[in-house]
Amino acid sequence: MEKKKDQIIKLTDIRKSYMLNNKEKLEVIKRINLEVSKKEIIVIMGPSGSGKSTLLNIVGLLDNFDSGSYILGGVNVSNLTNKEKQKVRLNKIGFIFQTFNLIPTLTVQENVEIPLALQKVSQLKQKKSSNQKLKIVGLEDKLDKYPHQISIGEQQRVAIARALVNDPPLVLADEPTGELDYENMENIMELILTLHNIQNTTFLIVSHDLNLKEYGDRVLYLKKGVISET
Amino acid sequence: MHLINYILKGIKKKKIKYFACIFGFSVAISSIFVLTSFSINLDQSINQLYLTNQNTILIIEKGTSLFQVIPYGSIVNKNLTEQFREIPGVSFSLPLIFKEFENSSNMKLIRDTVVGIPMNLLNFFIFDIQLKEGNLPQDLTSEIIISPDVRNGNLKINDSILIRNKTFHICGILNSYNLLFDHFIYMDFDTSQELYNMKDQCSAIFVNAQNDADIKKIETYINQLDTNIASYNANTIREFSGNLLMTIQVVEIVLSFFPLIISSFFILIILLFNVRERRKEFGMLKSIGMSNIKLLKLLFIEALITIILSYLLGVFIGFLLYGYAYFLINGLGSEMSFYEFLFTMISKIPIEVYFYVFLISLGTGIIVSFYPIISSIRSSIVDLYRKE
Repeated sequence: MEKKKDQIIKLTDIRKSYMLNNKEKLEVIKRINLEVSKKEIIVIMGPSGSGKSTLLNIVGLLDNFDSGSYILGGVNVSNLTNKEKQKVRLNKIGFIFQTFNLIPTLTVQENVEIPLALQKVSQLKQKKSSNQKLKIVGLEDKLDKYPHQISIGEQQRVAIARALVNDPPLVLADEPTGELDYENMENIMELILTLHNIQNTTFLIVSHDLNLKEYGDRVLYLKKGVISET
Repeated sequence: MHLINYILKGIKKKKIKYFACIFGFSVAISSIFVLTSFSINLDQSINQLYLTNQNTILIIEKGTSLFQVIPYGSIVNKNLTEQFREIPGVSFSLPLIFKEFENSSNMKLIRDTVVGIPMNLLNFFIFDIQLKEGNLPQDLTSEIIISPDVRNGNLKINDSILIRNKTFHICGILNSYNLLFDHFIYMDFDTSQELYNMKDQCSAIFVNAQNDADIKKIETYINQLDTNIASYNANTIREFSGNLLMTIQVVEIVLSFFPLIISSFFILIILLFNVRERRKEFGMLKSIGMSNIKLLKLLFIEALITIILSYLLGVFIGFLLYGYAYFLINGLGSEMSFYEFLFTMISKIPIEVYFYVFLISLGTGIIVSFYPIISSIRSSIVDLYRKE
């Protein structure tokens, strides 16, 4: 039996619904219970519209839920204010987006340094940390390039470096290989595994790509707002 | 990296869009600058020449146009100065002679006009008298003081001027922000009377009393005294010139705020599109931990940079336009080039104009940028990602 202190995420009876234009209620998440241990790589699979992104938004404190409870790293975050959620996201959670979301007017290094700048880390430490992470992802020679000057695979690696630059205990990835071809997909997932081993970071990955199954410690399936292991 | 880099690099990347915004706003600011400068200068000019203080009456020959109290042909036939001084309540009575120094076309109508005033009462006549350099005349028969733009500002202390075949030396140059009356030559009253064969005569008299009641008594006295003279008190002068000023100010407000409103509308549209383009960026920044306050500060700084650049460009354009307009009024026919003339304009525009225009620019800029900034701050992170 896993000890509670090894848990990083505990969702209990989470529900989430949206009001449609015709005032009908659409229940997207129906009573989800989820426990994630530290250092795990969890892959959540499901078809489009199954509620994967909604679940990830809830876990990442980007969206609220209607009922249930959410304990993150031993702290109940169910009723935090927006300001408190923002601080948790800044210090405890890293995000990898499907479309990378790099700032086109900033260089590769500047993009990676954004979370550190938000944490008011000194310029020297920012440089040191970003150099280190970019070396790990194999982009140490592209520091001064802009996103449009590097390939799609390299852009996703920059996004991964950014997500991990401030060493968060939890990283959430929403379709991290959605925009990539098979070769790049493999490279990115290998990189995620490498970083997981180096930093002992917990990864929660949502995807509809069945190829990602082999990279997870556990694979969960989300269908019509309900999660299961088969 | 400093987060301000995000803003600065964003401006650099979309410089065409920002330039359009800045240029549009600066055109409106330039019109406010021109009209505000003109209004303040005109107000000062009128104050300087006519309105020494509330308890003053201007006495001139009947039929003389009040606004052209440079009566080239007008003479008050009796020297009433001493009589007025005997009236109870009168502080002083100040005779003046206005005479044109050079005969010239209408364009030079107010150029180099000689004003003879008793030098011991100079301070009461010229409202904001301050000498830029030199001193008041010691030898009243041969020394004069001048306003800064006589002969296009080319005269210096100790230079000579010939007036009706008599040589006078310049001993002092006045400091002035006057719009129209900076071409006056001031000489001693007795000397000017002699020069223009006006013994016992003057062009106008300023009578200063101690209070309103005394002014009324003096006016009654004047009306009974001589049917050839008319009196105008400060209120009448102010009302006359005030009506003119008020008309100009109303026109100024309409002319300056109309382009401001139009340009503000287009700037609002540009800003809204600018913010909309970056919604996903804002969503990403907020999701990785940027607070609403931080984002608000960054966007406010961006707006402030745009406002300040618009202000600087607007003042520059406005300065050129105002200088050109003033050049058309005063500089044509002179030996000065437009660019040389522009340099003389620097002292014409009071410092408060720059301050007023900055406040208007800042206020308008903040109002216009308020809605685009707030709309991006208040949107939820999920909405920022969803809406393209």
